[in-house]
Amino acid sequence: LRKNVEDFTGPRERSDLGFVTFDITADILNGKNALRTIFDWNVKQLFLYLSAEYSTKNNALNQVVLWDKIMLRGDNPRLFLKDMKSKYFFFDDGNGLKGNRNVTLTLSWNVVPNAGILPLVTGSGHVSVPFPDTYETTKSY
Amino acid sequence: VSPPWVAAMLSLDFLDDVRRMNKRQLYYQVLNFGMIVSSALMIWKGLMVVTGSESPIVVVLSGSMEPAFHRGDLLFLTNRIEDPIRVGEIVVFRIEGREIPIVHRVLKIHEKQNGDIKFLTKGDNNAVDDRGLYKRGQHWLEKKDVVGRARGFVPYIGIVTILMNDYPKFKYAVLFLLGLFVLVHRE
Repeated sequence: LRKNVEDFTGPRERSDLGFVTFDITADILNGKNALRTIFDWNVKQLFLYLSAEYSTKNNALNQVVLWDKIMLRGDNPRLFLKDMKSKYFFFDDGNGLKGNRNVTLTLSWNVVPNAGILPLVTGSGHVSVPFPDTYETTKSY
Repeated sequence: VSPPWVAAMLSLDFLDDVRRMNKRQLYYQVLNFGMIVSSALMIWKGLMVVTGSESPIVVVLSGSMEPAFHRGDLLFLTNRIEDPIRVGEIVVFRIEGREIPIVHRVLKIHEKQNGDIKFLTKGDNNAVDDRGLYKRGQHWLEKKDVVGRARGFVPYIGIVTILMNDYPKFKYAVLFLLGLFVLVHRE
């Protein structure tokens, strides 16, 4: 599971807005038995999401979902995505993105069974994205 | 069916006994019924305590979480304080002043050092986040709005509840049949 990213930030009134582009290469495996597919008899779909986690002066913990995807039973559990833009606006609650060196991107997924427990699984491997100290004034997004 | 002379004898000598026995049996059945209702209530309250949620089982009412959940699916919730709210979780929440619980996924959280948290939700099947659903001027949800987090589910079963809500006659019929069954049933 690997991701590479680049980024810019743009100021919006009072809150920082981050722009992130990313690649995702991932292999979603069955947690209990790596030889069997994650889509066993009781898995209806996987809800995948890429989230950014970071700390700011204002808030000890921030988590923002940047992108999500529904993977249905029958889809290929491997992802090869390149140059993806975030689906959702990456607003901070304040100005905590500027100069933030420790923004961590993680891929996780919610296993939705046909019936039963709804576990949340975090993928192994995460990427730290440092945000620059200055704002971009021209939006090349 | 007994011959007429037996019935005549019964009606003369045993009528009082039979009448008394029937009354006792009736009281017994009523008590049985009361016990079943109380046990059911106790189990429900017990569930509320164990899960920490005021409504440990809810029915999905809309299609905003498809294809994961459909109208009529039954969700099992917990709302333990020790479990922090994190993105990706499916939360059931109520908007202040409204009764209907909404089942959506957490999209963003901002949590302070002391544990105060504000978060944003979105239905998987909706194009936009839930800000449009919140109260006017409200931009975030807080812990107090949460009924619980979905931990497990079974499909379809909750349809009965939706039917009972939409067709009150159906509800009365179901309750009537249940009551009748319990009263008549012999242990």
